[in-house]
Amino acid sequence: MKQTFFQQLRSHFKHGLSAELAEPQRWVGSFLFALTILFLFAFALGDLEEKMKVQVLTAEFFLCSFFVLQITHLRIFAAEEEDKAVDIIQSYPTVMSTYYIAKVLLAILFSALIIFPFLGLMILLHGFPALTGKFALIAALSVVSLSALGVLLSWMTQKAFGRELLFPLLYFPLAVPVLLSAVQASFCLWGLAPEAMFLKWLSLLSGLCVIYFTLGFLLFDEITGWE
Amino acid sequence: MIENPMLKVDQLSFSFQHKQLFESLSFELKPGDILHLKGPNGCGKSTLLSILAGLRKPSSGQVRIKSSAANSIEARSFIEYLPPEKSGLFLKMTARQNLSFWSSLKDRQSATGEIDRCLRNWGLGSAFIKYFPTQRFSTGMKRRLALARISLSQSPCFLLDEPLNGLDEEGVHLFKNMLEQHRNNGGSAIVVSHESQILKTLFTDQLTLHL
Repeated sequence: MKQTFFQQLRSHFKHGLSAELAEPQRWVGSFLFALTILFLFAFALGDLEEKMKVQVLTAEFFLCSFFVLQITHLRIFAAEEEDKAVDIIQSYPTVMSTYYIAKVLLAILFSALIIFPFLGLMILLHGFPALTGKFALIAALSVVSLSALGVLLSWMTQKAFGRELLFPLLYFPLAVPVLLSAVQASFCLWGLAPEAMFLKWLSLLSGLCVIYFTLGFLLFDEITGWE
Repeated sequence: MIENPMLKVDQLSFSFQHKQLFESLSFELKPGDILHLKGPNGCGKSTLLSILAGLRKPSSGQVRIKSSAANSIEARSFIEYLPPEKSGLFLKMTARQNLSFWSSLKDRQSATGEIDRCLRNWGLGSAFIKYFPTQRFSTGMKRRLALARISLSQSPCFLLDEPLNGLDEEGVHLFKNMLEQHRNNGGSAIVVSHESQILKTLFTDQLTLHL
């Protein structure tokens, strides 16, 4: 009897979770990076007027999220790469898109474990007015979009020479529309941009989320078929 | 009665960077066949095995595993592949976690008892070995664990690239027993090995690739 799609997804997710937990330094390192950003930006805020402060805090949040996600994605296949377990996975009767979804879910989970406590600290320490459902939605859509994109690009560049250079080169231009729409939608919430534009920026963000996830889901099987 | 081949290679060719590694290669593997794949370094043995495992695309020709194309999900459920040099382990995880994951992907959901028995059979049954990350293992112990994965799978066709790498005398003996049992159960295998003398009694046929 063959495993169903969801059974395979569960196997990959459960195993991936154990692999991530076996290497806590991978996400502890990212969390320390987030704390450093928080510390450094505390100096930048100084005596800024409220409007400017919110703009800087918004930039701080998305800048931190972008780099935390980039680090997470670059290492998302590290456990499999170490001893060529990735070759065995590809020789097993598994639908590779289940592997992709499991990795996206893990990227979302571990990024959220860093980004949301970081956001909490920003609210507590700097009074960032982000305690709204709408901002949570913007943050969640950004994390999902960037994770869907990052996992796909990480896999595509996995065997490339100069991967550390190639990955950000591909990731950055495709991540810009996500960051731009997330920042603009947030500005609409803080009254720094016309409120009427909020839905338009949110639609763009949601569209990018659907496009990147669908692309990853459909392409992952194709690009893993043959070496 | 004519037995259906477990694996059928038809007019297979592969070239890499303008170098023809092999050309128009055809052979069959029937249940109970253990094929010794040999040849000098760089002649394409490992490449051939990775093509059979569905990891590489041949330049031309085709590979069928029980009538399915080599890179199809159906074909992959019949084979078990051991790569050369590396053992395909998750190094930060324990031997138990490794075997549990691989068996779940083959829908075998092996019980802990079965996994422990398999680890014991391969001399990896002590508590230290079971609960410690495999990165602390020696090369030979990693190879034993990789072979334990293969024996646990009960797949009918093994594709083994230098399975004896790093194995001590006891490990070689355990491997020979595993392969013999596999053959007696009607399983087949292709083994790339330079240690032909040690395994010669098990091989039913041989294929030599040339530079």
